[in-house]
Amino acid sequence: MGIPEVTEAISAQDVNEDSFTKLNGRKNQSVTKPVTVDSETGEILVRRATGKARVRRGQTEEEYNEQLRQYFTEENGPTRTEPNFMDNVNDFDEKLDTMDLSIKQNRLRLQAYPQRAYYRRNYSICKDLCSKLILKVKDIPKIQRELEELEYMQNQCMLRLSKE
Amino acid sequence: MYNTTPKPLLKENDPLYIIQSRKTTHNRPATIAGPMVRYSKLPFRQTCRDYSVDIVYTPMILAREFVRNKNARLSDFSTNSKDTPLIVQVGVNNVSDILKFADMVAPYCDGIGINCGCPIKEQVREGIGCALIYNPDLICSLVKAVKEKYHDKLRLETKIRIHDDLNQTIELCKKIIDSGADWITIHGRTRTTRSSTPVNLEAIKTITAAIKDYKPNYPVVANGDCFQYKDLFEISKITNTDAVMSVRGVLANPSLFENHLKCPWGCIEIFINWSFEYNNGIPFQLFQHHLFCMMENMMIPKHLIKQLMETRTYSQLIDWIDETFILKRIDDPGFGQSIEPTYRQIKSI
Ligand SMILES: Cc1cc2nc3c(=O)[nH]c(=O)nc-3n(C[C@H](O)[C@H](O)[C@H](O)COP(=O)(O)O)c2cc1C
Repeated sequence: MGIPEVTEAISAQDVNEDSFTKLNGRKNQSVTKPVTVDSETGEILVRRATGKARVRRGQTEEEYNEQLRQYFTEENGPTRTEPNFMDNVNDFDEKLDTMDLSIKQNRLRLQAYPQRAYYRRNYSICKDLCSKLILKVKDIPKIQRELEELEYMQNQCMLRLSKE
Repeated sequence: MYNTTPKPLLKENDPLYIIQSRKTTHNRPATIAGPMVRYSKLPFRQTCRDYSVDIVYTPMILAREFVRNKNARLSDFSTNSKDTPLIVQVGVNNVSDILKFADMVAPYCDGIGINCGCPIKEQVREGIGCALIYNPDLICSLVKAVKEKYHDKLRLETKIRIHDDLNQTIELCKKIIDSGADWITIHGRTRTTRSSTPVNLEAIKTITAAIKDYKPNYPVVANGDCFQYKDLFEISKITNTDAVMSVRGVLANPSLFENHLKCPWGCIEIFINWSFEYNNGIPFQLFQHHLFCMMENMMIPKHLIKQLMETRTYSQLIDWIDETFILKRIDDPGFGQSIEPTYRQIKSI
């Protein structure tokens, strides 16, 4: 497929003047009609009613292939969380060793393990998971809230275990 | 090179079959929990499924980000073997992106829905969401591209809003049908109608009649203001649609399709269970907000809801609930069964 000619972008308002203006009492609600610049890469042009145009860069075949590779081979498709997947403590340990813990999303994923144990009243497991996680993350800056929750759970677990 | 084959469609998971057959097999229209940006994540979807929701949507996922960015994928879409029938909803404005997106999600869902209704300015400006209903050629090219590639192996839906001039909506629907979409969901509000304004069921009725006139038995789903079980029948009857999609209704009461007038306590237990079970980094505020919506629906006293909103972490929230109510865990007898909450005795000082 070749690169189609870029035609003048038209706003929907031009197509049908009163399709959605006065009736609802608001004016100038023009709608963008994107114009395809390159149908292979998905490069498009979005143009506002004001006439300002913005190009949304396409994705080359190589770039897409790299994403496909990451998605299907490294990520194994979308994240799958089957029931009881967190019973696997080895999994937690492995993630603890391999994940980049400076990324918040990764820390939250790991924190979910002790949170689940806490909810399930498995205080001894929860306490251990918290200790391991605290050791790994305690020096990361600006995560006071997260640390506080881990310490809170740890303390509550010790308290509850001591009462058993 | 990679296996992008769509998941096989069987009677149990084919959304089209379900929409077309529920009236015969179950004596009721098909029940659908519609898409909610941020909210329709796996624990909530699973909770809906536990209460007779036939088909559940993901939140709108932006194709552009999904096909280009691993982090977007990680935060936007997680699933599991129980997460079916599932429609992955996509926000998209060009053919190249939707084809790539379809390749990546088809093996893990039961259909793709194109969002042609989102009124948020940032999306409309990009030609995404309800901008699409003013751009029939683009919608049709998106639908055609996917259907020409996958034919009946992958279901494809469009969820639209209505125009001020219903003739425009009718013309649009005819084009969408001709392009091969498997069914159309009609949200009976225009781009600028506030969600507090009652949904325009007469409009859905008119459009549906025109659609069925054009293509007999073509499946149509009605969306808007389904808050109670009786609404399911009323909306479907008035509009003559095959299925009804609820969104804010199920957010407040995921059990509404089982004729619970308000959210039962057991539903809270089930939602909390799935939230911990499937938590893959879901922000605490999202979990808390779901509980807020459900507890408000149950008419839990305001001062207690205020306390709920003062909790700051998953563990604090659980401790607060355990101090205030009896919250059963999955292995406890009667888990997920109670209707009313059981309050704990007020602690003596
Ligand atoms: C919080 C929230 C998020 C929404 N996100 C989406 C979305 O991602 N995609 C979409 O098509 N519609 C979205 N909608 C619109 C709903 O799907 C639905 O069309 C609308 O709320 C009307 O249905 P209801 O009256 O049952 O709520 C959203 C609505 C709400 C309240």
